[in-house]
Amino acid sequence: MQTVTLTRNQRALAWALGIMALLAAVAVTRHHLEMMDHSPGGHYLTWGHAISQQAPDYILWALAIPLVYLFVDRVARRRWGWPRTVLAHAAFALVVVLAVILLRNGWFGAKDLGMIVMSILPSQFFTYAAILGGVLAYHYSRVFVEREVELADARLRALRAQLRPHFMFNALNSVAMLVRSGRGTEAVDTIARVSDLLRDGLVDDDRAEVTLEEEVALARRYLAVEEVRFADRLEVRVDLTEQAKAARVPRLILQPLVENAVRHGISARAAAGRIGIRARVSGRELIVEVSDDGHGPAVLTPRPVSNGVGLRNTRERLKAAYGSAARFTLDQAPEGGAVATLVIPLWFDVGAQHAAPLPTP
Amino acid sequence: MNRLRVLVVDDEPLARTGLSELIRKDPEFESIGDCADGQAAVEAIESLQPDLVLLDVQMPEIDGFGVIRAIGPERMPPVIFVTAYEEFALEAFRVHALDYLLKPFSDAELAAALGRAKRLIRDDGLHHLTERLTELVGSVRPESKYLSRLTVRVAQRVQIVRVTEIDWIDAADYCAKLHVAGTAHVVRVSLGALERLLDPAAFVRVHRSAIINLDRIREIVSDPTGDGVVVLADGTKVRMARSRRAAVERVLGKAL
Repeated sequence: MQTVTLTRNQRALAWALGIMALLAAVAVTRHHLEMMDHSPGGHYLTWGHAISQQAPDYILWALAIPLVYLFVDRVARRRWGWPRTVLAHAAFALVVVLAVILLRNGWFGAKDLGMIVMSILPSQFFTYAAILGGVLAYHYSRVFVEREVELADARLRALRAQLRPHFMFNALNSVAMLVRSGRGTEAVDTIARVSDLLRDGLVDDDRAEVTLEEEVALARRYLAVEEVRFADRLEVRVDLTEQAKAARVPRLILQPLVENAVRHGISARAAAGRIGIRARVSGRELIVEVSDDGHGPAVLTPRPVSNGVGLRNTRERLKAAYGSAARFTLDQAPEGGAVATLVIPLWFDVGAQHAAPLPTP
Repeated sequence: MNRLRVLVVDDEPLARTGLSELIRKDPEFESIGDCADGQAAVEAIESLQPDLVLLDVQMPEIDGFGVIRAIGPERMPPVIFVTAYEEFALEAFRVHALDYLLKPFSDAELAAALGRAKRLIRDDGLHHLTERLTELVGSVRPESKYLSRLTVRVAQRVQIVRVTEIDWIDAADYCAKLHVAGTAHVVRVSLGALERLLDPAAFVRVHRSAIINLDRIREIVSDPTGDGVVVLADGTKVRMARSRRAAVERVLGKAL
């Protein structure tokens, strides 16, 4: 037997259409029975007639479901404020309801269209509200699950990067060499930095989003260990505007970008390298750049496959959280090297001050 | 007895200077220098002829295996590989029974490795080492890439030359002279070492003392004796030896 696999969207749509079909069947039956009771002179409404009167409504509303879902999804990912979101929903509702009414009545070539519209507008709005309610419930349950899975994924990847044997053994070797040359204070500093990093990866923190400032602090702890290793070969520059610091970003979104910059900007070349993390706010968007002055992106120098996975994940995470409202690009920097740019809808959290602050190194 | 002259090659400053310090503590060894990348290592090995090389495996541009390939396993001094973690490399070292140190290593582990190297050099067991190095370089060849950049010193600055910018290279004593858009840069690497580092599909040796970039060939003029002259895009004429003719024909895929 052939099994058909449906995507989650297709399954949800099938369910929605199934429910609509059931409602339509109930309505047609009721219509048929009602007309049987009240029709004088034994004029019974046939099944066919009952269907032709009731079904168009249900077909039109069923067709509207995917559109409503797409609209809800887009709006949610754009992270608009309340007033704009409500306004957008109201406008969309009006368009859909009017479209349904016009299509429904255009079907029979109604003459008093204005009258019909005014009389059935309220009831149609209720139908729309019911559909919107179902779609919203489905959307948010889905987003919630997706976020959980993605965050768990990102945490695991970050932890794996921190525990990557090459990174860890080199860090320990730096400590050993510092001890041998009698630089005890620096050795202890390095141990503390490595511990901070391990703590970041191991301590439970279920927040899906953090402020950019927290996220950059985390990336800096990773870079601090690499700075000891590469000494004069690595220079880190961080430049965040005050407004950008408070913006919300997905947790651990910078880690793979910073790792990538170290690997290609510093480890892969002999000369000294600079890694820059810059962020600013432009209109309603947060722009974060992670740059290195190495050899430039993969288009010019073939890079190992493993890092491609990290950057693909970044793209996927952004898409899941913000849809088409977020962008991620990896370009050749004008002064040589590569620059990874994240553009994220600007989003602040009023409850940010209640979040547990991360220890700063 | 002479002290053994050791060269340290590692791209991490702390690891490099630390290792040199440790070697200086052993009266039987003498640290003759340290190199931060593969190209510097090739230069130093060719000019200083050390008795022993402590060689980091993972380095920018030319990695540890690239260094051995450039020098040639038969001319490579005894090597102790130093690496943090390189699964495929460790496997290769084990297979070919070559000595390696894992970072971080204890003083005792380093002393033991140095002791083994000492015995090998004094008892003249180098013949076996050469064989093993040859096998190692053969086994890791697909993993290593060809050279894409070289560093050259121009007055007080270090300049990067992409190999694709090089028009042709000729030998000057034990150095190589890179001709880049009318300017010549000297690198202290032998022409033979350079030839082994360059992609054979892009560069061909046309003469004992000349390598040319295939992209720059404008015409090849053969004479009846079999020798010939390669004319480059900028008009430079480079002599082509009869003995190299077959090699040139092979990369061009055409009979001359």
